[in-house]
Amino acid sequence: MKKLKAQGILILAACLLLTACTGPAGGSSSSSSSSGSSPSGSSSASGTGGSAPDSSTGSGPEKYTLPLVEDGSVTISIAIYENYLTGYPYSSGLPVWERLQEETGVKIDWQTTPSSDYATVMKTRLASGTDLPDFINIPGDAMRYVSDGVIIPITEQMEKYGYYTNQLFEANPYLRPFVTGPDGELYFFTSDVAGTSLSDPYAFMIRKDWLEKFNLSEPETLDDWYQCWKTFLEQDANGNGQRDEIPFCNDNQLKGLTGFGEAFGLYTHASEGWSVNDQGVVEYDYVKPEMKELLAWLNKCYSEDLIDKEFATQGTDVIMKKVSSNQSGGVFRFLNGLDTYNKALQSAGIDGEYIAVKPPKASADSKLEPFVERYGPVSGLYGFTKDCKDLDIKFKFIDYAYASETGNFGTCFGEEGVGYELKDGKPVFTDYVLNNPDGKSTSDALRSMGAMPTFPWCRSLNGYWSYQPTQTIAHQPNTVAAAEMMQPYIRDSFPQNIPSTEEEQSIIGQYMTDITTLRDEMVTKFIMGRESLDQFDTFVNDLQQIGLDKVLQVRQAQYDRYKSLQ
Amino acid sequence: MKSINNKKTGYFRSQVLPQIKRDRFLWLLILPGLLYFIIFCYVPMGGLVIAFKDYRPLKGIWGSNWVGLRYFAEFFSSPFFPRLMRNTVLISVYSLLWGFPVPILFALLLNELAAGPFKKVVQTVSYMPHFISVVVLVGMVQSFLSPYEGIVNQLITKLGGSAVNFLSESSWFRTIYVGSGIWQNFGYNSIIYLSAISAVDPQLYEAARIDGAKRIQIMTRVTFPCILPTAIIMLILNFGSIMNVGFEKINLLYSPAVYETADVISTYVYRRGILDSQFSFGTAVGLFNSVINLFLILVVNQISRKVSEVSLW
Repeated sequence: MKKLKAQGILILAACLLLTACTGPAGGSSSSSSSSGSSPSGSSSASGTGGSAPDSSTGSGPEKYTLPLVEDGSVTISIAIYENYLTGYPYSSGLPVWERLQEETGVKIDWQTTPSSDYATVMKTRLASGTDLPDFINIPGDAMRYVSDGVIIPITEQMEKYGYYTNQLFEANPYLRPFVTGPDGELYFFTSDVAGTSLSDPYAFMIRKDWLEKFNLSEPETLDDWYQCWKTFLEQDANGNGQRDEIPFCNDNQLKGLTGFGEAFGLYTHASEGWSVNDQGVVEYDYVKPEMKELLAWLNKCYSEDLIDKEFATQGTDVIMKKVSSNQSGGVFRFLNGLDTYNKALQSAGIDGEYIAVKPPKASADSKLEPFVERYGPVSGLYGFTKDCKDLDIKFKFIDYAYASETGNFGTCFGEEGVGYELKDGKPVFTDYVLNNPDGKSTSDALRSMGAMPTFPWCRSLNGYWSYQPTQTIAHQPNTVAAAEMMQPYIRDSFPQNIPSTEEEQSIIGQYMTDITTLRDEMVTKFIMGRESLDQFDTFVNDLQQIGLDKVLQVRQAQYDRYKSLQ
Repeated sequence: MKSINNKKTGYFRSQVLPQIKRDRFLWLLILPGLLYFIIFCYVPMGGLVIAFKDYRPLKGIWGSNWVGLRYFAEFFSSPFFPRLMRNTVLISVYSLLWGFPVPILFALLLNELAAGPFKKVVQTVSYMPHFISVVVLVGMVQSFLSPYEGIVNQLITKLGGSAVNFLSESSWFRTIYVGSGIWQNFGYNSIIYLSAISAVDPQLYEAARIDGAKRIQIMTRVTFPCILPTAIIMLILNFGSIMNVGFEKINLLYSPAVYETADVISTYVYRRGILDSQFSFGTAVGLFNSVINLFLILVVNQISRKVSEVSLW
């Protein structure tokens, strides 16, 4: 802390000096609007970064000096969801944000709304079109607001002042397409969640003690899974004399089952069926012949009671009940379930354990590599509105809070000394977060400091932005091992959420609901055996009929854009 | 033109104004209600015009571009449109068919109970489900009907049957929806009939008793005919909301397994992403629903006026 303060004073001094120099000349380019005393010189502060420890590299934007402005002379209004943790509104001065304001000199005017009301409130404000906050979480179709001129492009600012964000993009090249409009301009900030796959990928879990009970090895192929489940059910794995085992419970309703499609090379989980073949052509995996194989296998399992009968309806809490009542033999869900389920077994007095196993192969001689799809990689879009004054300074502030080490460690780990400590330059969670004295969960402890915000923040795959996810499970050795085991199998999912043109949006809006309705309904019927698989070709035909080819064209255009931007 | 105007203002001055003046306190009394309807029901009707426009909030209602019937065409051309119509109407009609008589019957029976603690308990217990939130209700339904642990299926298997996967069988959906709806609301809905019963002239009962009528006869020949007009008005009003099926409950209760019978207009529109700023599409569908509702209420009102001389207007 002391060192930081000293540095801050130095920088401040440098800044003052600079203002003194450029002030009389009056040639500064930046907009020094109402706040007369804003050190406009800082925007053209190239070459003064001498006090900065690491000099900027190559042609990228110059590193700016802190504080950005004289304390409190610029205020940025930020409209986002209110903190998810009740009792800790952002306006109450949470330490993470206090520090960012202190270091930059920019004050924040929080215009938060509870997440449930946010869309309604913000849409109304945007519709009125006046007196908008500077920086907002964009509700709904972001490109519509761009074409209406409410959300402004920030390409120029990013080139000039986006020092940290550019570094983030360089280290994590998958990000840029998701914040770029179809016209090639940069418009948005977004939360990077790709890094959560480092600690919390989707994983196939199975009861280890049940496997051992019947001398089964960890299942590797779909047939192995079938045999394990069959044994669990037929040979009374829970030993209560009843045939009440539910060998497989699926999370996330239908998608929890189509996740097995990954064994056949189908992207039928996180990607919703969209995939790209070797020639770069976008395809819809639900109409492939492999889909029929998957459905046949699922139907076989369902008809033999191996798959949860409630697969189409149940929520997470229902699965939990089946876990603690010693009925569930396995689950496909986020890996964080592993620890939760094992604790549930423990507290129910059951001597059992779930383990995560490798994703299944279609068959022992299948050439297809098993995999699971990565969730995300981004979530939410944020942007500057047309009413934003002093854009350059405010952009720097967002850049600093979003991607600088201070900003990232703050939003990921909380307050230094309370939420984390630096060990060899890497932040490590304290017991305050992982084992909170007041019994707060990890996320609640973090949110009480202003971390895990509703503001865009990064859990990336590379660089210092990637430190947090693995830290969150550091105290659960089983989960750490499982997460490491899963890493080689994780593949990027199809970039469904890259900003689209209005025309693309309207085509997807018009056809996709019908396609999804037909798809989910028929897939459910095939699995439950209500519809014979002889009808599969008719199903494919029907999908084609109701506009699949039109949506495929849009997806192709989006994918090509995604590729060209990377 | 001028003469007509003169005639009008003349009529206004000589006829309407004095009347308003005479009844000024009555007018004052209904003013809040009147304003409510004008401000919140009639003025917003102007906004219906966005059903025919590509509404952009920034351009405003009048500045947005006309698109004609595009959104109606999009809706009607969906391959699922016929099914959505059928499901919406059927769920409503069944709810009405089975749900409408129950509160009347309940009110008649409750009326036969002697006033006392038992009657009070019955009444309170029957109201209570009305105040359970939909989310909780659906949670209860799901756990009662679970194919594994649900009470209903445990009963069925104990009796030698085989468990039914109720919530994944499209043939069961309407029954579950309507049944749980009746259970939740019959007590509360009976209040209006109880109040109608309490307004029946006691002399009628005395006369009937002197004529030697039995309890059942008094119920069917005196009480029931007396509350019939109330029942008919309630029925007509119910027809006015036939296209407004409770979205919330269906959305919580259904799944792709039962789309066949459960997918209604409101849930489809929801899946279509109405939350995603498709104001115009949503308005077009809403307008379509309202027109059908209005049509139905007019038809039923007409029939009722012809047949029973009871009608709304």
